[in-house]
Order: sequence, then C-alpha cells, then structure tokens
Amino acid sequence: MTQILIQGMLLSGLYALIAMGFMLIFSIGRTLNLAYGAYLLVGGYVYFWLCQQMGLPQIVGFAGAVTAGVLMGLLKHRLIVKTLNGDHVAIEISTLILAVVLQAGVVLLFGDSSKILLPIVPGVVTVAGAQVTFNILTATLISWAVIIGLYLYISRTHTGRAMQAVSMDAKGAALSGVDPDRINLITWGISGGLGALGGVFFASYTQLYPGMWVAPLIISVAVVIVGGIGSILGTLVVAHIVGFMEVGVSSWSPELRGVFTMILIVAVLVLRPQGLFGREETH
Amino acid sequence: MKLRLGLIAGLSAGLLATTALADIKVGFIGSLSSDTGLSTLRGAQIAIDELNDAGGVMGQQVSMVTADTGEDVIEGVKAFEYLAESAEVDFIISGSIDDVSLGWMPRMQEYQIPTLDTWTSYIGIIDMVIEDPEVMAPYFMNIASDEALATLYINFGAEVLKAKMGFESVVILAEDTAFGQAITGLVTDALAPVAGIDVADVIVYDIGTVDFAPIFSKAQNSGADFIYQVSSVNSQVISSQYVKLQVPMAMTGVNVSALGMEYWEDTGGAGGGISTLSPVPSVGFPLDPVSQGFVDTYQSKYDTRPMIPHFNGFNAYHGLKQAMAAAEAAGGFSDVAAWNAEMLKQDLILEKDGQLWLRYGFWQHGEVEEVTGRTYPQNARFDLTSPYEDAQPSMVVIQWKEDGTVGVVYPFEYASTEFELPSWVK
Amino acid sequence: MLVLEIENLSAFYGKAQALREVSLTVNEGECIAIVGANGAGKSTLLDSIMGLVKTRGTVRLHGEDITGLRCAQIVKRGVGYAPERFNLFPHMTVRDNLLVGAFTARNEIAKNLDAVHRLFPRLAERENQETSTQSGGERQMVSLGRALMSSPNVLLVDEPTIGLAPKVCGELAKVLQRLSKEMGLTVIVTEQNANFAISLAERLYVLEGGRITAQGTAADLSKDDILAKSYFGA
Repeated sequence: MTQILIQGMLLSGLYALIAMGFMLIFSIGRTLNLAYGAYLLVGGYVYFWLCQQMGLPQIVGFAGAVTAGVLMGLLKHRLIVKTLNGDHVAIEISTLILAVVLQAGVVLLFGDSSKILLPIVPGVVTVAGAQVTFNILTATLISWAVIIGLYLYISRTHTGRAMQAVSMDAKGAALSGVDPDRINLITWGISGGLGALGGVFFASYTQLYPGMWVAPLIISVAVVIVGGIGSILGTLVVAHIVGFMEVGVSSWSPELRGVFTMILIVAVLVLRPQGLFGREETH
Repeated sequence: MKLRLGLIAGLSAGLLATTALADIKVGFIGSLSSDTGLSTLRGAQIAIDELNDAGGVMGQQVSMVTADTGEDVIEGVKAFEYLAESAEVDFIISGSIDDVSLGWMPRMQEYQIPTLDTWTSYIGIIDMVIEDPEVMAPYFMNIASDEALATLYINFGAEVLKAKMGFESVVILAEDTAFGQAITGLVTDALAPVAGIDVADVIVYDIGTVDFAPIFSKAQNSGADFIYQVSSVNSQVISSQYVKLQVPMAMTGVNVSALGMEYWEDTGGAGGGISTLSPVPSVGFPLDPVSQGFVDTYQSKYDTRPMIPHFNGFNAYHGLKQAMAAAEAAGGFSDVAAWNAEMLKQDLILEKDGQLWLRYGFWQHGEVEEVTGRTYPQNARFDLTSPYEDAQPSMVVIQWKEDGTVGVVYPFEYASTEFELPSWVK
Repeated sequence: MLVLEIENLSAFYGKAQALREVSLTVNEGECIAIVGANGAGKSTLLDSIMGLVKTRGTVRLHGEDITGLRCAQIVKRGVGYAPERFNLFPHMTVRDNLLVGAFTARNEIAKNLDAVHRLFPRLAERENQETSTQSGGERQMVSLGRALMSSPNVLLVDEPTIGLAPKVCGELAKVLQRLSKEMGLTVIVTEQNANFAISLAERLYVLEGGRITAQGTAADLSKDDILAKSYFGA
C-alpha cells in the first residue's frame, strides 16, 4: 500500500506537469492542440542531444529544451493558429500532421531506435519496500515547483490574470486593454516550454523514441477532459487520479494499465461533460 | 527526325546496357530506419559487392532494389508487391520482423519469388513449410526458429540459473504481444519440468507502460529468485528502469534491444547486469576469421549505426551468397523447384581454431531434430546439444556488464565471460 | 474641445451593414446619449469605436485617427467601455475582474480602485465574490468599475438599464452624472429607455436602422412629434 502511495505520488506529479501545458492551450487558446506531444518529443531529444551527445551541462540541456519548446509554441501560433483564424477542425488536423512530420524529422536526425536518458540525478533509495530513484524524485519535485510557480503566475500577475480573462471572455479581455492575440501567443509559448520540460522528465522516466509524443498526449487529453477546462487545481487532482489509477492497476493487473483511464474519460464525458472540476461554459 | 531516331537508339542501347550489366535483381524488404533492417540490407549489399567484384553471378552483375516496410504490416505487403511487380526482382532478402513477414507471406506464395528471411524466427512459418512444401518452396529462413531458441534457453536455466546460482523460482515479466505470449508459453511449459525452476508468477504488462516501478514491486512481492523478461518492443525501457531502480533480483530472458552494440549508448549506460538470449552471432560473440572479415569490411564501409551488424546481417551476407550459388547451380531463379533443391544443399562451415564454429546449412525435409523431436525444413541448421559438433547452438545467452562490456555466458563452449549478478543484487 | 469625432462610419457583419454613414461629435466632459430601438445599431456603434467591428469611415480621438487600431490600443488611449452584456470574467472574483481592467494602467491601481470603491461601496464589500454569482445590478457595477480601472477619459456605456429595477436605474444615473460632472469624464451612453437618457444626457442622437435620424437636446427632440411619440412617450 505504501509502495502504491509513493509510486503514485511520483508518477502523478509528472503527469500533472505534462497535462498543465495542454490544459493552458485548451482553456485559453481554445484549441485542442494535438501536436502538444511534439513539444515533449522535441524537448526530450534536444536535452539528449545537448547533454548526452554534446556532453554539455544539464542546465544547458534544460534551457535548450525549454527554449525549443517555447519557440515551437510561438511559431505554431503565428504560422498555424493565427493563419487558420479559429477554424478548429483545420487547426486540429494541421497540428496533428505537424506532430507526425516532426516525428519523421526526429527519425531522420536520430534514427528510430529508442534511447534512454541518463538519470538527471543518479541514485536510488528504498522506501517502505519501494525503490525510488533520485531521478524521478527530482522530476516530481521540479514538477511541483513548476506547477506552483505557474499557479502563482496565473493568479498573481497581470499577464496571468489576463490569460484567465481571455479564457473566460475574450471580448471582455480586449476591452480591458488586453490584446487576446498577444496573450494567446504568450500562452502558446508557455505551453510549449512546459511541454518540452515535461518531455525531458518523461523521457528520463521512460525512454526517447520518435513515437513518444502519443502517450503523453493521451494522458493530457484524459486529464483535461476529466479535470475540466480552465482549472489548474482540477488538472492537478485528476493527474493524481490518473497516476494513482495507473500505479494501482499496474500492481494488480499490469496489462490493463491504460484501460481504466479510458473508462474514466468516457464515464466523465457521459455523466459530467464539463469535467469534474470544470466550469459550466456560459456561452 | 534523325535526331529523334538517334535519341531512341541511344536510349535503347543504354537500357540494354543496364540490363546486361545488372541482370540479376535482388530486392531488399525490411525497415530502412531500424538497426535490424539496416543489418540485413548492408550484409546483403556487401555480399553483392563481393560477388560483382569477382565477376558477377552466371556472368551477370547483381544489383539491389530496396523496399521499406517501416516495420508496418500493410507497408510490408505493399513493399513486397512493389518488388514483385514494379521492380521485378529475381530474389528477395528480408530483414522483416515477425508480423511483417507473416503479412507478405501470401504474396510470396502467389508470386513464387525465392525469398530468404534473416530476422524473423517465427516457428509458425516453418510449420507452413511442413504443411505445404510446394507453395513454400521459394522460402528459406536462416535463423534458428523460436522453438530451438527456447529449448536451449531452458538448458541455460538448468545449468546456470539452477545449478550454479541456486535459483528455485522465477517470475515472468512479459509484454502483451504475440511474441510475449509465445515465449512465455514455451518457457512456462519447460522451465519447471526440465530445469526444475518453479514459475511463481506471470506478469503481463502493456507495451506502453511508462513506469515499471509498480511492476517490479509486484515481481519482488512474488518471492521469486529472479525475473525472466520477455520484451521485444521498447525493451530499453524495462531494462533501464530495472537498472535505475536497482531492483534487487537478477533479470534475464529475451530483450531484443540488448542484441545490438548500440544498446549501451541507447540506455545511456543504464543497462548493465541484464542478460538475454540472442541468436548467433551475437554481440560479444567471438568470431571466426571469415565472419570477422565481413565485420571489417562492414566497418570500413559504414560508419553509422549499427556499428556491428546484428545476427541477421551475418545471415544476409552468407545467405545471399548461398542463394546465388544455388541459382548458379539451378540455372537461375526462375525454376523455383530447382533452386529450392540447390538451396537445400548449401552448406557453409566456418571454423575457428580448427573447430566447427558456425554452420550455414539448412534442415532437410523429413530430417528430425533429436532434442525437440520435430522437423525444421528450410530453416537454418542448429545444434541443441553440447559439444555442438554438428552446428552452432541455436542461441547464446549474453550478458551486459555494468562497465558497458558484453560477452557470451552460455553455452560454455562459446562463452567469453561468466554469468554474474548485478552489483546491487549481490 | 472635441474629444471624439466620428465621420461617415459604416460597419459590417459579413455582408450585412449595421451602420450607415454615421457622423457625430462629442465635446470634452460632455455626456451624450444615443437613443434607438433594439437592433438600431447602438451596440455596433460603440463596438466600432472600440475597433471590435470591421468599419469604413473615420474615428478620431483627441484629433488622432484611431480607425483600424486594435481594441487594446484604443483602451490605452483612454477609452473605457462597459458593454451591454458586461463581458465579465465569470469565474474570477470582483477584485480580479477590476484588476484585469487595470491591465493598461498598472501604476494607478490604488487610486482607481479607491475611486471605484467610493462609487460602488458594494464592490468593496464583495470583492472576493465570483461575478458569476452576482445580481445584474452588481455586475453592472463591476463592468463600469472595470472600465474605470483603465483610467479612461472617455467612457462608453452600452444600455446600462437593461434588466435593472427602476430604483437601481436611478442610482446608476447618479453615478454616471457624477463621473461626467465631478470627475470630468466624457460619457457616451446608448439607451432604449429615452427617459433615462434625457435624465442624464445633455445632447442626444437618435439612431434608426443604422443611421442617425435626429440630434439635439432633449427639448429640441421633443418638438418633433414622431420622435416624441416613438421614444419619449409624449
């Protein structure tokens, strides 16, 4: 039981970080960014390239990964989202295609065999019969720090409040002097950075491989659908529900790992379409 | 008008010249971006280069056409059709994975193009040969099939895991694929009765599993002495998490990612301590001079991964030459029955220090292998009993050490290092 | 001194034309009303001034051509807008709604917040309440307060009395007059309720089918029989 508790906390922290960036774009940009997983893909590979292939310090790897994610987010907003001007189906299709193209690019540059990242912090400790690597512990702690930072940023700063405002009423935000377009751009940048950072941790948890953008995308979609739009707290809580469910199911019947998450999604969609913590959309 | 005629004449001459130069067309089918696919491709290419340098086959030059499967069944079927219909190849060398080979098999039966599989070891295909030898006449597999791999692995269990390490019970961690199921079945059926090792638990996991911590906890809670892993998809994940989590039990089994020299780099060094069965020649496998010559040529020609070809690269190199020799004897590839008969006669014995080391030959129809009591027609010849005087063993067990070296630990005749427990288990 | 000049302004929603060659002027510190029936184009006119609608024609603010500027830039130049539907941020508190209003006037938050709280003491009492749970009158206060947080010198108010109780309307009129008279704001109010408009505005424009059909003081307009009948109930 203690094992499940520890392992669940660790995995959930990572899931929360990954889902956060997806939630931001879904809530503020009102876009189902199906290329979100590509940030994780690129973030992971940039870190791998800088740290493991070029031998640069980890901080450079993190900075490089996050920068790449931010740039991707900004470019995606400028080149795709803005150009397609609110045509959601077109945006979703083109973002999905973009992810597949990026995957092909990664195969071209790094080959299609999987790679394992060196632990960010090496070492392992056994707590109540559960092995806990310092790597995952670090990833979880940084995830929490980033999530708390994000929460403070969104609730306490002008730009953060403006992001919330745009998510709730774009016209109201505009006539408050907020440029929704600029806020969207910033959100896409932050989302890209969060995704790329999550990608480094996700890859250090598992592995780097060109198809690694799919699994985190599914987790993010699940967390955001179940958690509801526009809620950091909801995202956090549901990331823990999904994380604990995976760990619990893994210790009981590992081949059913993803099934319960899917059942949860369908159940929430049917019973409470706005999500467990989501607000009712007013219009 | 004159000019146009001249052009046509020139073109025809050019076409004729190309046809004359490359009269034998080999088709490669496999993934052009995976290490295993590239191993077959490059092994075949080196064999073709050597044949052409020596004057070609039947006085003709050999050329190669490639068709990428991307390890996808549908793409694989399309690739086979392309080779058969558009490229009109004479012979196909395959580096396909199990599912892909099974996918294009009906096409092969239809087109009747001589084909050599170098990677898949699926025993079901050999069963097809037994059931319908006529329709499967163009098909050869020059890797020992699953049944032979598993059988010899059980001996490793008895002689090393049980006798030497004193392990009494095992927990199996198997991925939820057809491969995982097949190997789990073979191992659970034989480990207890033959090797005297009890199966404490079988844990099947989803191949998308991100976090193996709970699964390893479950394995530890089973009370078994060691873990037997069966992993062909994303195998680095389970082995690197095993190392990162320092799971206090030995882990052996089948780990496909550990079969290549790049395993160490790919796991970021978190891969030491695990052992896996491998078809021969594996990484860490001492080589005979001929195979070593092949590796030297390979390395002077290619400087991208895989740095050392996987076993199927050797199979492609030797196998392609054998297929050409068979064609030479049968007057080409078009008479499939004749080619099949000549191919079955191919027998290449490679010696090391005066002893038989590797043998590239095929089981004949009706020839019964003693240990398993069954036949393996058109499958690579192997030997399941020490001291391996008839052929090489069907597989070896290799172990990656924590310093990044790798060696063969079983069978003892082929061993280059000793089986040991990871430092955190001892 | 002219604060706002609108010349031949036409606005379109796709192919539909909502404003036709509207021209009007507003002097500094003046309070004017635009009166018209539902669908006459009142909201479109204010949205057009804010750059929220596609337009043809010219809008000048303090002599500067602001046509084609984005809404945020217009707010920055000193135009505040309290729209008909409020467009509040329903799941944010009153205080956070007001703070978003201060996006372009971050140095004057304390001063403006104080002014808003003096105008609407109720907002100070309920500053931690989410606006989705507030009454229509309270939302109107938040909406006006939010507009005031940007330190505007021109305030646009769209149909402030819709759905409000008569008593609340009276209070609102007082507030708007204070803004104009005491604080020197230029106020433009659109109204269906002509009596409310008269009680408030110095000059009125009548908007019908997207056109200005009459203008003048309340006294001027009530001389016109048809207008008086349709809008002023006389």
